[in-house]
Amino acid sequence: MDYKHLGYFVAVCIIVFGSVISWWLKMFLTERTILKRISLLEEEK
Amino acid sequence: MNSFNSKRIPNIMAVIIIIMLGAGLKIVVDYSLTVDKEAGYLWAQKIFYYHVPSAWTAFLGYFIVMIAGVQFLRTGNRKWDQIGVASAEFGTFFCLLVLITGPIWGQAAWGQPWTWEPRLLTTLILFLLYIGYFMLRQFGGHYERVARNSAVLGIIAFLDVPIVYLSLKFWSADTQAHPQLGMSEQSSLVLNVFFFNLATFTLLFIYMVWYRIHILKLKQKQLELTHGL
Repeated sequence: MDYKHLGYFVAVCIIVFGSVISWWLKMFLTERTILKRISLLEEEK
Repeated sequence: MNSFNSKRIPNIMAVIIIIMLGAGLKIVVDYSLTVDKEAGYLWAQKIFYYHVPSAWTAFLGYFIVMIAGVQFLRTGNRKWDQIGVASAEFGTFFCLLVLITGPIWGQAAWGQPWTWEPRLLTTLILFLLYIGYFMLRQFGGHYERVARNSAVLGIIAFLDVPIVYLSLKFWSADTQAHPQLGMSEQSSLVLNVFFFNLATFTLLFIYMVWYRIHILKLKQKQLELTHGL
């Protein structure tokens, strides 16, 4: 087996899957923060 | 306004995408053929199954930016601006994946990560155009002006997409380093795996844009509450 080229493929998989998970996590955390702020603002009113 | 993840359809979509990403990886690892049979770099060749669907998704994103830009200029509806921004973000996200996975494949195939050949260069220009788009959105001033100018920029920047796609035909073969293999020349096994990943990435793009638009709406609501609108 050509381990060098296998390494290239594994690197691509880590980059693709890792970045997708990171983006989802970023959106999830952003959404949670905004929802908390909105509920606080609504309580103030 | 509820959390995006408390809605039923996005949840079903997320489960389908996770299953498809996992199944796609399994198929690529276990069953996919090398695209270029004469190439001796089988594993690196499998990068194709992620590289090309990323490019397709980036083009799809930029196409939606262009449509949203036209609609925003026509109607002035803020909804189109939100669709445009969300699509531009994920179009650029996938374009960046293309620019990262391409050089990794290039290192295996060409022995160097980058050559200044037409397709690579036009893709880099496309990416930089959308970096300009985000700079305009960040520093462009008043919202109405930013939305209008970025809609125009989104339409103009899309002109580079057909140039990227047709770059193999536009420039002479001796300037090209990209594989000149047509999809019709591929075996059905290659095509089946490729189209499976293409469908997965398209679904992922729709999900991400939908989620992003939901967040933009939440931000809008927060802004309205803050300023007592």
